[in-house]
Amino acid sequence: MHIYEYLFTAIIIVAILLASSTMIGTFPEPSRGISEKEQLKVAAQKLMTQLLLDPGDPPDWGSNVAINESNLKTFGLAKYSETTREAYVLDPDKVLRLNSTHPFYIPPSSVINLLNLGYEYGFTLEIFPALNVSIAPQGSGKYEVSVSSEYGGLPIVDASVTARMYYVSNGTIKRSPPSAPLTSQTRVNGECTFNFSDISSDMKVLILVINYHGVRVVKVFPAGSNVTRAYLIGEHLFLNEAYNISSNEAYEIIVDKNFTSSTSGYMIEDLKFSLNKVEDKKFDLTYVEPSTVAVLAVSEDGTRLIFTSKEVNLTYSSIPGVWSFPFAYSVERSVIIGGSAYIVRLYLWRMSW
Amino acid sequence: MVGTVALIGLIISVGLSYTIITAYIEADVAKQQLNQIAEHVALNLVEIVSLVKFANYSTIEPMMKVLNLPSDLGGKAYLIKLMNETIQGICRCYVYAQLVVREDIAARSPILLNSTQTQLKLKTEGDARPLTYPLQVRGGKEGIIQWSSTVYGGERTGANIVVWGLINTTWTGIGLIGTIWAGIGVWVWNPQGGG
Repeated sequence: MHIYEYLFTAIIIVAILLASSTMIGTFPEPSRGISEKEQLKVAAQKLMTQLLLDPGDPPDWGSNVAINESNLKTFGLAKYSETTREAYVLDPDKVLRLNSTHPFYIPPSSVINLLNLGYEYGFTLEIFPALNVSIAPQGSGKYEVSVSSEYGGLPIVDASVTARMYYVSNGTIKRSPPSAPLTSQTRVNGECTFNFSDISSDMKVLILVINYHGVRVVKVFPAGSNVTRAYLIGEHLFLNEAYNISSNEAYEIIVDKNFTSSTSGYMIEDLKFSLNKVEDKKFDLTYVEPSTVAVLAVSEDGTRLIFTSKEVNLTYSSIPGVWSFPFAYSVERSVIIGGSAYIVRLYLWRMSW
Repeated sequence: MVGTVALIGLIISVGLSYTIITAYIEADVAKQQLNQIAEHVALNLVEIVSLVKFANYSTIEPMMKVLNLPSDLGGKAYLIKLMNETIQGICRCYVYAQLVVREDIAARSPILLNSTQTQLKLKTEGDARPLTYPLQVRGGKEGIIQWSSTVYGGERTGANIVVWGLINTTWTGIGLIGTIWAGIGVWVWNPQGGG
């Protein structure tokens, strides 16, 4: 055999080796990709379980203003009770502390540390109402309420909407209508209209309860221009500006099922409680009803209606400004916060593979 | 002569290259599988702790969840450890899975719970805090849980790898204080025949 034939054979072997090594290298890629996604899925489920089923430690960290990011030991958003507990019921005080405008905000960097995620994972948590409700003032005291689904914005037809306006008249809080709240059903386009033309005040807040086959959503809409937002944390009321409260009184707005009515409506009622001023911008309520959705008070000079709401609609991300990540895995879960239906969506991604 | 030597050398290098490539792929696949196992154990541990917290003080029985894990990974034995480490003063717990014969092929998954300053105690490696051993399931009628910070993977007759949790209550004079213990172990439902 001539030497060139040996060399030719050697070239063929090298070619076979290169081809097979390339093929072997590419073969496990699809299965590896699936495996990595599967791991991310399990990690996302693990994180979701911890966030939604664990109350954290101390369990009252949401309403306890002495607890901050430095002395919070375990992070979880579940509502805690010594006696009975329900799964996927979250504590509104804990959830509201994830809002960056909240005075007792817990930053994502602390949550990452508390959850032992280190630098391996990043996450975004979205919490939003199960129904998308928008309110458009039509002029002359008319308000058009539009209810749509969170998925594709499809109109929600035949949803029951209960409405009541709270306003300031002669320095005191009044409600309209005074007897029973207004009720309406959404039309084919998902809209319905309420008329509060009898109210001329610029200090008014519209409370809406939307019920669609048991899915309840509460909306607190500042309808007037002289309305200021405050924060209710446990039994403490925190104001953004130093106001004194008229008569040291606050109205708790309560939403519950109307068991006295033959219809499946909701009642919107109010209870008056006294406030104790602790310091500038801080007041303590004597008692907070568990089904309170909002608290209203009037400033001592009678020029502002101060309101707080337990509504939640937030995006909480480990990378500020980034709500999602291209290779993130998302998990979604329906939860109850303050009696209303919400959707919690978690995006989890790995910082490196 | 030169050609023959070259040919033999090439054949040997082909064989070696093939072995190296397949070993690399095998290790990579095993690592992925260990990662999945570690994540699965960590998820179930978080779930069992949530379940024990839900039960509050209504039970003193240990709760457990059977983990259906593979008996081996490509014919190789593996082990699962519950470990903790302190970085910058913060103690973190995690599930660590590795091949028994290859310590370098390992994976870990963090446990999203604080086990040092809270009422939750995870039985991690090196933890000497006292706890009854073994744990009896329904007074021993349903077998026992041999808890340990390390378990070897796989199924065996009459025994299964489980995650477990229980609440120990103590009266402090002002009220009940519950300490939650949790960890991994082997549930032996027939102590005479299995394990």
